[in-house]
Amino acid sequence: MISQSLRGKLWKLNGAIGIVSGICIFIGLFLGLVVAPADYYQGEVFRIMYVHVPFAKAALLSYCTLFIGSCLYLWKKDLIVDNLCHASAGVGIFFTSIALITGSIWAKPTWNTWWTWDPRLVSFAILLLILIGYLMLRTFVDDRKREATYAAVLAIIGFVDLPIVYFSVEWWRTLHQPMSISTRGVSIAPGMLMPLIFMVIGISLLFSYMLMIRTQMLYLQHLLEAKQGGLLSEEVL
Amino acid sequence: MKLGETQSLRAIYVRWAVIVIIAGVLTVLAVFRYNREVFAIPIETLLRNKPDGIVRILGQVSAGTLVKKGDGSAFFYLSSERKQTEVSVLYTGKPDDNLRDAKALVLTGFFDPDQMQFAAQKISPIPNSGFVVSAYLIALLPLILFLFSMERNLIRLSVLIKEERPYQKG
Amino acid sequence: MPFFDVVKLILWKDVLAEVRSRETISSLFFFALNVILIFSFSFSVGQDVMLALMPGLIWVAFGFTSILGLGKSFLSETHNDCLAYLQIAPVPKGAIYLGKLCGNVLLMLVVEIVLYPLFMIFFNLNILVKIPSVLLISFLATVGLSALGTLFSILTVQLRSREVMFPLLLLPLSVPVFIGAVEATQGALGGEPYFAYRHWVELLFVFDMIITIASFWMFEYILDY
Repeated sequence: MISQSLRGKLWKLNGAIGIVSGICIFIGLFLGLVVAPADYYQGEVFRIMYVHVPFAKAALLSYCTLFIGSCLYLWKKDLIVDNLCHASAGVGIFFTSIALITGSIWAKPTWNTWWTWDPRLVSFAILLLILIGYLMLRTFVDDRKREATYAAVLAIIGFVDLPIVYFSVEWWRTLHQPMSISTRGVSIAPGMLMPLIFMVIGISLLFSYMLMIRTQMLYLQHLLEAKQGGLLSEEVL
Repeated sequence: MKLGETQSLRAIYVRWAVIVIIAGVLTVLAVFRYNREVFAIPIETLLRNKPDGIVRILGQVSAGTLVKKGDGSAFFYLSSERKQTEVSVLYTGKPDDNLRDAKALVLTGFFDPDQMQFAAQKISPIPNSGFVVSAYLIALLPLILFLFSMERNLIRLSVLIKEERPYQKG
Repeated sequence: MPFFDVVKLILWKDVLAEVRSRETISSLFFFALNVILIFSFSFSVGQDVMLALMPGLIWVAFGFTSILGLGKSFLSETHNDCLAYLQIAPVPKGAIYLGKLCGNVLLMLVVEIVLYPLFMIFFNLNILVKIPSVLLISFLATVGLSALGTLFSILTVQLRSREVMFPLLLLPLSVPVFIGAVEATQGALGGEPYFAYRHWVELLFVFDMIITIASFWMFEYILDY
């Protein structure tokens, strides 16, 4: 499906994406840590948002990439798309767990609690569990094509289910916990918005850079296994 | 760079060394800003050293001592974090929501040694920088390590694939 | 072979196998009984707090029982290459899924219907006046759990670590079923009118529809790779 010349162009584009993302992240960190003033109510703690929000957006990006890649795989049966899904899940676990941890660190000084049963937090935790289950399923299935199909099916069912989880937890929470704590409604002054924008763009570009590198790594791993097995089968290419 | 050719391992090391150096520069700049704008001394240090000029102190409004006037100014006692010493504070700034009973605050102003009173002009929330530092470390250090190891693995795999010869009689 | 004939055939095969050996249903029933027993000792609270916790306990017990029961739904097919024969059979694969789903729902419903009177006896619950709503909630929640469980069963039944993988995959995705079932059962047993907990029942219904259709569609790909 993806020709050799297209892959060469994508690889060069990836290098450019890496450089741009690095520049955006450094500008974002500079503005966020050195230039931006502290928040009126939260003080210095607000600066945690400059890492938490971009990582959370990258986690959601990985979740969407996993879904689109899985649908594409079931349609075209291209094993490189399957590598993309595998890479997306791996990178997604990284971003989701760090988003959850930094969110928890932000919550402690702000609301004096490490965890709250907010629908967004619970959905992120369930996304993490789904991604972990996805990677474990891939590890335990032996046959390459079967692994790809099963993983794609799991990803699609997980994608369909996560919004339902979000809404059901939201209804449950309005019933049992008062809306005094909310992850929404954090009003941001313009001086504090610019670093956030730079960081979000930078980390999203960094996510796609990591995705490409990890996809290439998985492809090379499968190639090496095939070579060491003695036969370069068409399956792996 | 064609697909199939890869960068050398040295290029990876150089690139990441540059990134770590820039991160170090950013950290130093951030620490300078912190010292300039945020750093606050505890009350015991204030009473011991009696510094001149504008200082920032950190403490908690003693329960029951807060007296607010109509124009926003207030008088209260600020106790240290270990609740061992107190200093009286006269706040002469704008009306401030952060000024509440038993709230931990950072005050910016002058200290008068003769009257043992602190004339505060600005109130800020406590910095909680331990949380900020740990969050950034947890986010950025694994990111750098993960990316670095992935790029190194890529090179290592390419080298291994080039060297692997199928059907070679061992 | 026409679609619903396949569904009926698979359902009949599973029911017949179960009626003859009775091994799954008896193990599920006694497992649920043990779970209820452990729960009644695990919380050192008074009778009224226990009644408030009841819907949660009921659905945790049924959930664990489903994990046990649903994980095994394709186990009998792994012997004698039956899965390979199912793959090459010229029947619509979605019909196989629906047949298995009906079998699982029937099995779990039988276990639940036998267990509700025991709940009444042990915990002094008054279910008799609300039997229609409790049955409806049980049915919808069981269909939801079984829809997910049947799909994940065929994903995990050939793996070495199926006992670990199946609950790991099932539990995060079945959170809406548990929330909806517990809240609706609490509303029903608490004597509230149907209007008060109506949206939980609707949540269960929407979940069932979406997941059954998605799994039905995905099943083609699993048996067709």
